[in-house]
Amino acid sequence: MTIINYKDLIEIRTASDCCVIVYVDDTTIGLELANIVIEILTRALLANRPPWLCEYIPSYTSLLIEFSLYEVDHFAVNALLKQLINEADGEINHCVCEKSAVTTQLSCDQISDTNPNNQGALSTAKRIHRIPVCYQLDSLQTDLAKVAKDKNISEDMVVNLHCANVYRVFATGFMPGFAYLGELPVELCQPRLSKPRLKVPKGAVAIADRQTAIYPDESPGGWHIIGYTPLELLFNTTDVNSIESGHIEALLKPGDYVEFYPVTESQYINWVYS
Amino acid sequence: MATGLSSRFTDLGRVGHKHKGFTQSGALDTNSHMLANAIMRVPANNPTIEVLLGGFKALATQDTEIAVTGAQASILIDDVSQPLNHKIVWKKDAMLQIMQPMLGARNYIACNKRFKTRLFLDSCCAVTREKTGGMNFDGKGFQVADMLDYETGISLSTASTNASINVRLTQGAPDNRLIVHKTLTTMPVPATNLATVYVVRIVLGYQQALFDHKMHARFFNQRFTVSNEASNMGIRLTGESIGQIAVKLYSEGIANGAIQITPSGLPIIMLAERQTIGGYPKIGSIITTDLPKLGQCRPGSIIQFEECDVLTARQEWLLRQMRMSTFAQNQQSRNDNNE
Repeated sequence: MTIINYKDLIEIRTASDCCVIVYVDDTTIGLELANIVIEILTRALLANRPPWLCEYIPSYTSLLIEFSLYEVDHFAVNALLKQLINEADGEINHCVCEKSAVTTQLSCDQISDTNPNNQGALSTAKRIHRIPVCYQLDSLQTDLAKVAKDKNISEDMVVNLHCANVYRVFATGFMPGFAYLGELPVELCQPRLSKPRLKVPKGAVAIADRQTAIYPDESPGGWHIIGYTPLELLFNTTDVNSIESGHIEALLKPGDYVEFYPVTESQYINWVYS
Repeated sequence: MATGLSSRFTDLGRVGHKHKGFTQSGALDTNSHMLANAIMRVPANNPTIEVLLGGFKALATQDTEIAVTGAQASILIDDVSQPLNHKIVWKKDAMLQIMQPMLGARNYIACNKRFKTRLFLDSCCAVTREKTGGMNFDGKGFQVADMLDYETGISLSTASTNASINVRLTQGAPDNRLIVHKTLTTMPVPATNLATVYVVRIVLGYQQALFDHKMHARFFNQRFTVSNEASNMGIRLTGESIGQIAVKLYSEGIANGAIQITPSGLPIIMLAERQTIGGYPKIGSIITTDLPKLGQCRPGSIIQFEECDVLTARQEWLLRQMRMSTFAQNQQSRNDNNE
């Protein structure tokens, strides 16, 4: 067994005059491990949040950090990040070695039904979201039949495959509350639509390449729609006080895990109107 | 991306919400925005009105004072021309017009009182793409006949905001001459320099090592033209392709002013309303000090890139901030003496 020094896979680069970006090379360790390293570094950065930190954007294999030009320069930021990486080295190695153990532990950890009545009470400890999806909804557009045909499997098989995996949130972005989940079983992998839809309805569960995602709101989009979830992916967007104080939370955060389960059309409708 | 004519409230944008996928937003020419507020002796982050390519008309329902900064445009109050970058008096029932700019693209209007706005994530900015923020939280700018209120209860109404360029040109043609006013102070006004050719400095970064020396040379040794696809999200440039790099990247965080190179080998400059993450390769980013210039670019403007190191970039920015705050303090004491 080759011993990998994970520190050597991490690189800090300039992004702009007030941003640096930390990359983790995923070629030897794979996307999921690289993303776990990003999560550890993000957590380490926020644990003792430096006063100069303006923004941070974790993504698949990178972490963008924006700092205040008033407070620090590149040298100070680089020095702190190097220190963080050194300090996190133990945790990274531990996580990476225990990766399989971590996944097992997670699945028996606090799995909770994400139900609309207790959405607000989402705690950081809950790392797996079980998300209901209606795969047979006649009233809204879907590509389920087309996906089944293209992949030469039954529609039920598409649903089973989609529900069989536990997906990791690799990144959020594109629009508020939009989470990139992966990796999709290879049996379902196919390129994006050649012509994107101008309007993908809110709640659409879609797949493209080796990813799956939920559209938190109506939006243009080029992914294949296979179902709809009745869940709200953003909280408090209608509560003026929360918005003004900035307390908008996305259901899915980087590093969370997601599982889908099928619901019937009547369950879906009850959920939407409850 | 599309260029639309718009006017709407703006400020310095949202801070600390990008990890949730919310864009930054805010004034594109932050320098003119802050200058307008400095002239009116109000805090730098007070809301101003951002007017894109003129065509703004509004009626005051109370006496008020304003300052207009930014693009070189004729400013008229009841057909009497008014100076740019100065405090001007706007009487009740008088019509304010901001005409099609001769140079530059955006004007900023600040008032002596705080406009009444609604805050979304602590910013008054409307973001069309997200359908968030703005007066109705729907991401839209001003509509004809909107009433803009001061927090004190005084109000003015926008008579017309969405005139098309063509209509505006015929309407405004006779008044399109440039007005040069004597500066009232010996201190230079820290206004955004307007030009037809903008030299913008960039720090190399991101995937810059993947671009070979020929591509670097093509990038720095040509003048790019701003295309019609220019908005607060970003500016797509046209010119000679710098070449392609065959690399598939995972989406990553996009810095303000980051320069993406598209598969066709042409740059897109990412600005205030950019999406938070994206997967095109980037050669570097425009320095913070030079970003306001992009707010004054319009289709046809010429852009020339110049390399800069991070330390110079930071010094330039600190100097600009110092110049602005000194101006604001001076303005404060000068006004105190006059009153």
